[in-house]
Amino acid sequence: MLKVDNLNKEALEQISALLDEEEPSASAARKWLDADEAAGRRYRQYRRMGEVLRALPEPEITPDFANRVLKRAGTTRLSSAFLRVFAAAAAAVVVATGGCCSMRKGL
Amino acid sequence: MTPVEDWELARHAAAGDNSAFTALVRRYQKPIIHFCYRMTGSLPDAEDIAQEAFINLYRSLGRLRQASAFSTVLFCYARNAAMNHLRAAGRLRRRLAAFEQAQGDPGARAARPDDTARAEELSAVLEAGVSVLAAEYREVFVLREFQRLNYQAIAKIVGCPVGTVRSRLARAREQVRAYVATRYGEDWC
Repeated sequence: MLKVDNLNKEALEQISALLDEEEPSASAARKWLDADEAAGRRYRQYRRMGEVLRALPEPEITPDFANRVLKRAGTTRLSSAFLRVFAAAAAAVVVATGGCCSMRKGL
Repeated sequence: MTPVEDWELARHAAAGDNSAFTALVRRYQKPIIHFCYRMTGSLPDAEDIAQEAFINLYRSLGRLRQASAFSTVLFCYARNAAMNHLRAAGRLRRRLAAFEQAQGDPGARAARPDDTARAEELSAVLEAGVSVLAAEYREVFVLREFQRLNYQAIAKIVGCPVGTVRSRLARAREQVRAYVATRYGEDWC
């Protein structure tokens, strides 16, 4: 972080929060911005940064993005269903095998 | 669209209604991909991460609780997927190299005299400044500056207290500002 003025960490947090309308003591902070040249300039710089960044062109999303997600979701659902069936079948085999073993022991 | 309506769709989707899940994907694909794009600097990567986030959400639909806005929950999934992506070995370095190559050297273009050119240069420098932020600062910066989420929502998404969001955001802004100042001087605005 460049040290170019006397704004400390708390001051920078206050300026940042004021910009976001998240500063509890906003009224006092605004008076401070009006009175302190360095604080006021920092506020304007932070605000300008946001404005410029939000004006950037947004990337074009691939038109079939949603379809790709839905296709994969369908595969996921089938996989889950398969796993459930497989687990149930495996459990049935275990039970059946256990039963056979018990019967043999009984014989 | 209110959060309740989003959750209504989520409940239908959890019950197997594909059209409800489709509606959620179409409704949120843009902000989620844009968030991922700002985190990675690559649209193909952003779409892959967003897809991962939607699929993870889909798998969890039956277990989700309506404790906050649906968008907050979805951004949480996107954030986790993006952070996993960024943690992968070498990705960050490649992303920065690709970004710098795409942008060229912003400083080299700083001598262009007209206002439009200067605005374009400032955009490029700012984007570069955001791209070099550490991931923990970049995520709060992107969620606030691009997605316009409040501190409480950001805190839920990144899993930290509101006070930490406040301090990380201030630090991120200051680092981006300092990055710009190294090219334009302290009085750039």
